[in-house]
Amino acid sequence: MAGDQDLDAFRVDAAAWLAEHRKGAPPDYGAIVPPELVDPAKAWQRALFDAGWAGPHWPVADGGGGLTPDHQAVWLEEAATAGVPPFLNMVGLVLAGGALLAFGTDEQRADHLGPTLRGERVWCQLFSEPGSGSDLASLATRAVPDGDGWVVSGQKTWCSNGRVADWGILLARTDADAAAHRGISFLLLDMASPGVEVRPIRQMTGGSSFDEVFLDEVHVPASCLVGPEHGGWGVAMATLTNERGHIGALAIAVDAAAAGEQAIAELDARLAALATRRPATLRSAVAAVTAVTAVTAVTAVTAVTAVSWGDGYAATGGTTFADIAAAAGLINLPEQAGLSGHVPVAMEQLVAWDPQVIVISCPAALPDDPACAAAETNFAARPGLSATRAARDHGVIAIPARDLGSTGEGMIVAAELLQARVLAL
Amino acid sequence: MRLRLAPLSLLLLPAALLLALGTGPGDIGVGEALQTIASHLGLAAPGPGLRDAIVWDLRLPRALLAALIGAALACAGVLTQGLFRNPLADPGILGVSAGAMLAAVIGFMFGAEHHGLWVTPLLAAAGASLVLLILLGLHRAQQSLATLLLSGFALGTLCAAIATLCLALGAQRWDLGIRVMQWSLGSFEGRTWIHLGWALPPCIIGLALATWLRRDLDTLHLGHDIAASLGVDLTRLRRRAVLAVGLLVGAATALSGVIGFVGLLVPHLARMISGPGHRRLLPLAALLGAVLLVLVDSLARAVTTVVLPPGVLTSLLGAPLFLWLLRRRGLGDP
Repeated sequence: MAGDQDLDAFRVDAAAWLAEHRKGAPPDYGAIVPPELVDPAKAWQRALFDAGWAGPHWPVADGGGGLTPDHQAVWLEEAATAGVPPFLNMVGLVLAGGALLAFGTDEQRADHLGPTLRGERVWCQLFSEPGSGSDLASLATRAVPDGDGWVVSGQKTWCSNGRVADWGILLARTDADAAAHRGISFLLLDMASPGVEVRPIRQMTGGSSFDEVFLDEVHVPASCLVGPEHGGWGVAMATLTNERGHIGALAIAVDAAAAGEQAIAELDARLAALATRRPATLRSAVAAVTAVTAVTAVTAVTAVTAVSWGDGYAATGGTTFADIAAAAGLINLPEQAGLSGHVPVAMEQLVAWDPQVIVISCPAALPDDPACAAAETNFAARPGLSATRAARDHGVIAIPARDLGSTGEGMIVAAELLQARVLAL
Repeated sequence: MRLRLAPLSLLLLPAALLLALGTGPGDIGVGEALQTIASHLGLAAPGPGLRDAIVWDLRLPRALLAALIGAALACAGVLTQGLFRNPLADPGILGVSAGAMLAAVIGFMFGAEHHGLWVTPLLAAAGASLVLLILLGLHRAQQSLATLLLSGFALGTLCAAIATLCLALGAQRWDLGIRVMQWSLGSFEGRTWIHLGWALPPCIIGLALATWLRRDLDTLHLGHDIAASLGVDLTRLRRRAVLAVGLLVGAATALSGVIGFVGLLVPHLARMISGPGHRRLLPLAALLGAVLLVLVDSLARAVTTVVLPPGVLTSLLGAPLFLWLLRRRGLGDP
């Protein structure tokens, strides 16, 4: 075992070893191995493993050094100083490794961690999708249960090292009915599986470090599930927190699971806070108010189009607004009326419902933008609408469209904005 | 029987309007609706604000606009049929509505409607007139009805294709797509007194022109040569009839979207009651057209909470009728 429990001694040892062996290393390429350097990078990882510098903070049982995250941080600094890569690639040694250390079964750890530390297994990350970018909650890749495991179909993009990877860490939606971040699972994908196709993405720079990966009914066995089924968001958040920690080239969080749980806990806390503040208290405080109601009309409400083309659509049951209204503690009237989806509802129906709150979308990004106030004023002044409670009592509320239409964290932002406005009525 | 039915039909429009006012959400019956209107005329005390908003701001202008546009489309149908001396001619079938729609879609693409509410009706009227003029240019008196209908069909398809092309080119503009889609279904949803105000002038001018042309149209019915020998200036008649149809179809299409088959359905019904003379045919067709659209829109609002497009309902009624007429009459000359 290289190094010592003492950080300073560990640093001296690392620097000495690097000074001697840096000539055998590929140039420092950062977090992603350029495709042409994969073989030297694998050899370098093997050399690091043989000398005991691979995974200093990983448990000894998993092939690591059994030291602390601080030791790993020192190793990263010394490698950076020497101008050599600290490991083969970030996806394998930080993300996949971190996820397996935090959430993997004994079998998974035994299967994957050793080969990864020895540079025998290159990993790629299959998170981003063409439609969702980095917004993992809007993930579209589907994993349908199929006997022992799942059948996965979808498309992933901005996958680094997809062409040379042996395995990938994959996020797929295992529960299509669950809310945004609840139905996702974290899977390990053997890139040699039938149905996996990798195509390089040509970048503006002329190179192509990234790939698109097409998954066409790829079978993933149940043994490849990391963490709880449908609980992949937590695993991913923990893993990505790892990545962020690394990109700062500072400390590494081996307590990644805790970080992921913390991220989820923060969201849950915000939802819980919404629940405690629900306008139920408002209802008892203001005797005349029987129920707090909300309706959306997601028409564009600029002055001219509103007059000529006032056909309104209401966001009823099963829409993101239904969840937003529920989180904010409002009753979505059209949902209660038995409607579902985005439904064209007559203006006279909207007036007859006479909700206390009418939520419209604001074309601006932030709620204090003057465009939101203007949208509210214009909407409230529409013929017929001006008689409603919402229009009379400032209950027409414009929420930025990006939050109102969000399927991720923006939903909570929308609910918070909405609840704050309703409570201030 | 013909003459006895005509006065009776005068009662139909008020009855249809009352039905429209008493139909829809909010538990507002005909009595409450009448009371609300009376309060606006200073004849009764004002009722609850919501009822007032629903009846006076939403239902009444909507019903009146439906009536006006029904009358306009029916008269445009009578004019077109008189002009081509053929009962199967109809602005919708001949592509005139498609011409109005294309002009309006191009207007939407360039945001022309932001210059004022009058722009879209004007554009639609120009588009409708243009298609009609092209048809008249292509049409010779001796040609068969098949040639006329197929020419109109081809022009209509061409207009629709260009409109679709415009939509495809502007596909990233979601608002444009949804607007055109709603519009092509036809709707009176959200129309207010302002819309009624914009619809009135072109419709009144169009209806007045039609009334003015009724004698010449009667004479034309006897044939081009006879009409010419009886002193009808055919060129002038055509020009005025085209202007009238353009104004009527343009205003109707611009303000309520595409509502098909009214111009075919109603003149036939009216002709069965009043006979072919335009003096009686025109006002009766206008009246029945108004009644039809008011009833159709009431039906569209009454069936579900979800708004049904009235243009779909008129097509559901009109298309089978067209097939039935084709089968009964064939494509021969009138």
